[in-house]
Amino acid sequence: MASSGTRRRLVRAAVGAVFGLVLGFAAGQFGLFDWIEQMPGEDIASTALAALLLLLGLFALVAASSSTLYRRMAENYQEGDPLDGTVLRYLRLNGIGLLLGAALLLAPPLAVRFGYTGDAAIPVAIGLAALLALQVWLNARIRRGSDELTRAALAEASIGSFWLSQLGLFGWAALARLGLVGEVSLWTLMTLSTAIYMVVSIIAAIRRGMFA
Amino acid sequence: MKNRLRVLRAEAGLSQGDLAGLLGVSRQTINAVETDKYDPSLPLAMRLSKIFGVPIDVIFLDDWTPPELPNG
Repeated sequence: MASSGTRRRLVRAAVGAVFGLVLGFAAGQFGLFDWIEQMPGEDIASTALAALLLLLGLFALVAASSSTLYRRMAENYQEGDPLDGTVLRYLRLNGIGLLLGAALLLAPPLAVRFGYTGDAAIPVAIGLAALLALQVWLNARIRRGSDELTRAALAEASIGSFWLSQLGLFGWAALARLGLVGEVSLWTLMTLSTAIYMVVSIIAAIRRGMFA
Repeated sequence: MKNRLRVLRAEAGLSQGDLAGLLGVSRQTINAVETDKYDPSLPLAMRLSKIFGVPIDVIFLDDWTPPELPNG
């Protein structure tokens, strides 16, 4: 007999599968896959990361919309957990931060795709700078309001991802300098470092028991 | 670092959520300390000591013994 937690996860997985099927079918109908096939590999990777951030951000915003929804949606919520307006507000801020991250990753490839290059790209660049400034401010605010476990996990994720990115960057740069591998674009490097940060921050959070 | 937080908390009849609320941290922080996944900062350790009314070294267990001082 499955526990109620396992049952709940199975139900969620089934709902997710149906949602994914419908979403995939709709995307196919609207020609999204043909469109993706024409994109460079690095843009496909950054768009996939952006889609992940978008979904996580939307999930966070929906969960933070009420304490009842938070209790139902947060996997690590336990009866009696401190759950006041501050918790929900910071989850909302996190959700907005994730959506901003998705927008920042999506905008440059989409702008190029829609012909915003040369002088026409200047307004896009200004918009990106404004979004980036907003995200930096938001992240600083989230960090200031976090408790010490979250700050420790953030610091570990930053250290770990810097170390891995630096190692990978040096390795690839040295091989490229020796003519053994090709050069990669800045966009590819940015996408890789973002992906590394996401993976390392999830590992840091698990190690510190933040999902418990 | 090993600690007796879970025992002290149970003796005080507090849930992880109750203790987290008293200290202004998340329940995950209390859980991480109890399961040795996180060593709290000195201010948090001192607040724990005040809440339970015991010295810090009754909560956190350290088997390190200091070497003899050169002029000791």
